[in-house]
Amino acid sequence: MYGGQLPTTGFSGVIYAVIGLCLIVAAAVSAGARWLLGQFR
Amino acid sequence: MRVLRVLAWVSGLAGCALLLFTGFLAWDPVAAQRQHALIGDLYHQWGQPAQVSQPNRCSGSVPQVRPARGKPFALIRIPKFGVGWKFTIVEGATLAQLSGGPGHVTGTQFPGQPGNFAVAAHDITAGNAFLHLGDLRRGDRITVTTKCDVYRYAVQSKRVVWYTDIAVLDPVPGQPGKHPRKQLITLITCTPVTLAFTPYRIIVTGHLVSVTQRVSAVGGVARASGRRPS
Repeated sequence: MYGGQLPTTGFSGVIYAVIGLCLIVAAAVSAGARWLLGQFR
Repeated sequence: MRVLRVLAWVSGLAGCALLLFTGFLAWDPVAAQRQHALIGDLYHQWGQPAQVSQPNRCSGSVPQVRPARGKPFALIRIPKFGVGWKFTIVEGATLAQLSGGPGHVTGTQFPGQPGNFAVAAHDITAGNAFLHLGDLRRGDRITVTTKCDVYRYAVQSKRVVWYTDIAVLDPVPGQPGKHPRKQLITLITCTPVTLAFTPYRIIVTGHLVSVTQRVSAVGGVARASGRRPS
């Protein structure tokens, strides 16, 4: 019955939030890196 | 350098879009429409004569319900959640089936059968059906209406279990193989309320208090006689 588990009743969309946060962090890291590179030029 | 800048902007915007999409999913503004459609489908079924594969359930002592996967077959009301709180129960409890509201855990019993009628629903999304399941207390009423009957249950216990504890679905919860004598209802949702995965499920169990005939919308009686639970 459902693979030996009780039904999944949590919010399944959290994966999109995780990916979204990762993309935002990646963008922020990229911007920070570019800013740092600009400081040493 | 320019390519990196563009990539950073694109990923940042995509990330924001995904966060907004997540908010949209959690808010679920079309849940009410889906539920409205399911209720319409249910009342349409109840207005139809019995199918060949579904003998006239209102003429026997125990309903022989064989609903199709994803199809609604009952209404659940919990007065403590409000006068207007009403959801259909569809057959099945996969993510797709729970997207419209509560679902019957396939393999467990149906109302009117000795054993355990298990119903699962999301705490958030799909109308937030079981968001306040943890607020139920001993003695609170749960009403399930099928085509023929109205089943009234009283909450008798509430507990939190691990998501693999399927013994709560047994006909006699926690006692696999034991022949059921009582008619129980088990309501299941995730706890605590969170946007992330949680391995815990809150389990509310109730026992049948009474069964009465359902009075149809046109004033007719769907069942010939009311009865007490066996």
